[in-house]
Amino acid sequence: MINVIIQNTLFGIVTGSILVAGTLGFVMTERLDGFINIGHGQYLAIGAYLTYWFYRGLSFSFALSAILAVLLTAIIALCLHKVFFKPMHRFGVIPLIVTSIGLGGFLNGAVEYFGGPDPHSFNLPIYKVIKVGETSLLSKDFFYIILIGIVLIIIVHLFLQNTRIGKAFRAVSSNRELAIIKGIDLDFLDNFTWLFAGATGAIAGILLGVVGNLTPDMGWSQTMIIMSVAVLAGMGNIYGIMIASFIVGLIMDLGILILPSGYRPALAFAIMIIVLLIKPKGIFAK
Amino acid sequence: MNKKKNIFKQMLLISLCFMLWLGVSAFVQAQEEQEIRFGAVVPLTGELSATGVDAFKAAQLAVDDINSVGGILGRKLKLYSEDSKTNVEEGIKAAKKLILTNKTIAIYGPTSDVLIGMMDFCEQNKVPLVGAVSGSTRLDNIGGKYQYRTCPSDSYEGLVDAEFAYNELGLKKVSLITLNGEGTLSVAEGFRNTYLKIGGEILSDITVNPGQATYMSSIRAAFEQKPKGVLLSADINVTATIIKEWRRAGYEGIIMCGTDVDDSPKFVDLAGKDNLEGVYYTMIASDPDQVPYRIFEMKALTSIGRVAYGAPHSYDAITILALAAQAAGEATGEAIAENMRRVSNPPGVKVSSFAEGKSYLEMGEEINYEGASGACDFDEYGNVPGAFAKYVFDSNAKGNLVKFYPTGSIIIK
Amino acid sequence: MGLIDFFIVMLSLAAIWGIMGLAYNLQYGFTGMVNLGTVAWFAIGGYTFAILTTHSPQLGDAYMFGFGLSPIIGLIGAAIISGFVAFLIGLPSLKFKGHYFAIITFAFASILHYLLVNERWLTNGTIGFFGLNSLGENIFERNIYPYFFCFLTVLGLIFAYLVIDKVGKAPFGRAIRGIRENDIVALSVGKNIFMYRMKVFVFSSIFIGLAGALYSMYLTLVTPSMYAATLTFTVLNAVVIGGKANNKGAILGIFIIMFFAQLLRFIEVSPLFAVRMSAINAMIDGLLLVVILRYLPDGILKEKKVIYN
Repeated sequence: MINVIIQNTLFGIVTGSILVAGTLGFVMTERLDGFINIGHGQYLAIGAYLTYWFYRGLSFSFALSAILAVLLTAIIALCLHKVFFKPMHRFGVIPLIVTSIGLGGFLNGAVEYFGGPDPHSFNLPIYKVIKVGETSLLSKDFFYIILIGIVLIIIVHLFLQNTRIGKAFRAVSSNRELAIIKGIDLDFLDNFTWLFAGATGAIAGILLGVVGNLTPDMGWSQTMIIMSVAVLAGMGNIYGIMIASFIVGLIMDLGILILPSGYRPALAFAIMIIVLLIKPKGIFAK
Repeated sequence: MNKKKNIFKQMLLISLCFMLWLGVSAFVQAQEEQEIRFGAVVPLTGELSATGVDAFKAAQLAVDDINSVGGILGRKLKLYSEDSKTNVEEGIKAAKKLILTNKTIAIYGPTSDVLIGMMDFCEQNKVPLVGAVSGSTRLDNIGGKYQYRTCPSDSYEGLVDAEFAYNELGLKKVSLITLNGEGTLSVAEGFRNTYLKIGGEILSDITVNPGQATYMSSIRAAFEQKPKGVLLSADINVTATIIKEWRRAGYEGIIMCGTDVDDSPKFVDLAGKDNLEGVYYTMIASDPDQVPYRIFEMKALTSIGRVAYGAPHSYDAITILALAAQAAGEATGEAIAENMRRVSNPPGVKVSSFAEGKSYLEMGEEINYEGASGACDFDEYGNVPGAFAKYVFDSNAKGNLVKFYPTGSIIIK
Repeated sequence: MGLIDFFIVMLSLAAIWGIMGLAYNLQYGFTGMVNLGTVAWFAIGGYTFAILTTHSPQLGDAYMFGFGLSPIIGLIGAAIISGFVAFLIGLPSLKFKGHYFAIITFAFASILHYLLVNERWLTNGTIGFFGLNSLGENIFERNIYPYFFCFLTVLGLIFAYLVIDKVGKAPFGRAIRGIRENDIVALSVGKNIFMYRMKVFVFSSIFIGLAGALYSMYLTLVTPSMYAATLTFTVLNAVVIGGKANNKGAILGIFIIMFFAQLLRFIEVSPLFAVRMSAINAMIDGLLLVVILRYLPDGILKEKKVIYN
């Protein structure tokens, strides 16, 4: 019994790592541009499918494929922002949200068009779980995912604290008008944020592809869970997101020890609803 | 302001006219040609598409063979196809389009769930329906004049799987992991009934849902009591995921799959070539020694590249429909329905191709079609008994025949 | 006559979606509520109809409730239950606006989908219910029935249009539009925002449930896979494109969306390429939404300026 709990806890941490990558970008674009990009989940799908194309289609190494995919997705996210979102700002928040829905649908269709409606698999080698005595832990590749999650967190932390852009971001995030007065280049920050959103989204998608399959809908299915994390953390606090990701991950993977496993994603939604009803600003609200 | 409105109104009018024109031209085109139309509602995408596409190609082979000898009653046969997406809703929409717009007089090919969904609509419109990969036990007693299948019921498969597990592999205690779906549940049920009867013990009986990110808890539950083997009855996506996670977890034991997976490139790719060695699966099989099958096999290997699951059955479905129309002397759904058993059941001269059948019919003889998939003798519910074969994946993820079970070799007690 | 038959079928579908579009427009266009979980009420309507009208469970069926009642009861039940669920969900969530209401409704629809798949005792899981009875099936000949059904759905659409239009023109309509534009001002004038929103939500959900029941009659079955989240987006698309807060616009939007969907169906391509068609359809819908929203932010048909005497 203890073994099962340990193993599922580790799974939860893996899930959390993936969620960190997926949610950071979502929250950052919301902070900066003031609307929730419902199509954010599609960056995950795009990142995963691009990697698939490079790795399985063009036979690049997996690492190279992943890096290329991340870069490309970042650029795509930036372009989409400039072409579709920027002109819509003058119309207000709701048109922006609806635009993000339309864009999300378009990207989903594009992924399905190029990738086909059937699932794909990276087909990476399967590593056996590492055992400590009687207890099964995780396999090697899953431990790497946790590592990537931790590295990402460290990078973001250093970035926010120590770089100019990072500090600018924190300034805008907490008080937009004051930041503009102080002369922060909003445009540059904006562009950077979208690049970052695309990149981290792609990373999340690739990690998802490592632990599971690639399907055209993988973007939409993650969108909900990402929103859960964002709501739990309280839409603004970057550090809160990091913690909330792991909380959601753990609840999902430990929750299925009690509920039927078909409900795993539903647990994330339930968290969201509960948080909204009890403490809508999130548990880490400023 | 008003100008914009007017422009849009005009555009709207133009588009409506365009749509009308498209519809009319499609209709007119339909009236012009003298062709006979069959419809195919087949899983080209979705869970069962790995075999759906290749089985469909076999149906097209049949159409080519029929047309090469002048078609049915001297008219060309055209097969209109729609993708069922392995989804009932899509299947019904497809059936509606085929019957109402394309005016097809017969339909072949849907998977079990889709077939059940479309049955009533087809019957209402007097369009016979022949399944080639629809094994659900639910269809055992509801067929009749308008529903047939050239593939055997899963209840037979259950017998085979149980016998194979218990006797051939010597597994006395197994667990079940079953996908919550029409076809997969029926396979599991068939297995369960027989396996318990012949003395086997089922340790854990787990049901899973499609579309989950991970099945670890279910796998764990199934292997908890250390069964020697697990019957995994699920579609290719779920099976692939479960096999990968099973390998990762390092459990012992043998995995036996049902008829939903085979060594198609799609499945092997999804599950990972290196993960499949030693996994068993079942195929609805044809007696490899029979001549009609040999001929079909040759054709299939040349033009399609492999004999997919359901391919011979698809070929036979089309051929029988065509022969029924030929025998009836008229190309309507009702006439075909009335002649299905006449051309495929005894008495009659045994024929194994459309060409043969057509010539005998033209000479005034009765025929009995024995096809690539088997004897094709429909009972009162439109079912055929069938043969099965158990295969195992080798280290290259190619399926190797382990045991062939001819029709009727296992009796339902 | 194949063409007429096809046209009748399409019109029936368009009418059903039209009802949903009108109802959704009331929430989104008139009241400014972004409901991203519309499909849930559509599903509730369909499943309620199924559970009320399907035969009681037999050996081998996983579900426990099948009441075998007449389709009329099914329709009424679907409408009532749908409205009731809207009430339940509305209670905690209608105090939120914008982002959060959208997220909650989306979450609710997702959870509902899991319930449909997992709670086999109620919903029969992924298999769902099939062989459902339609209203009036016994009265009409098999060949004529589609015409009656089309008549039924169009009647439903006209009814929905008349009712919703009336609501829009009444003082109630003015109030909700006021709330949409500036709820602080509306509050100051003494309007109980929450009550207005709740009324709109429940009222429109009744129609969405009705549409759901009609759709399940049309398909003669319900399965969880029929109710994917993308359905909500399609309705949203239609309403945004056709014209926010304009009832004729909502119907126009539905027709445009369906037009593209059918257009693609008619283009004869090899069956293997046809597989990509639904992807192209999704891309067109998404792009259409984005482009129209950009250049015609209020949709094709503008909101009617109601003149008050």
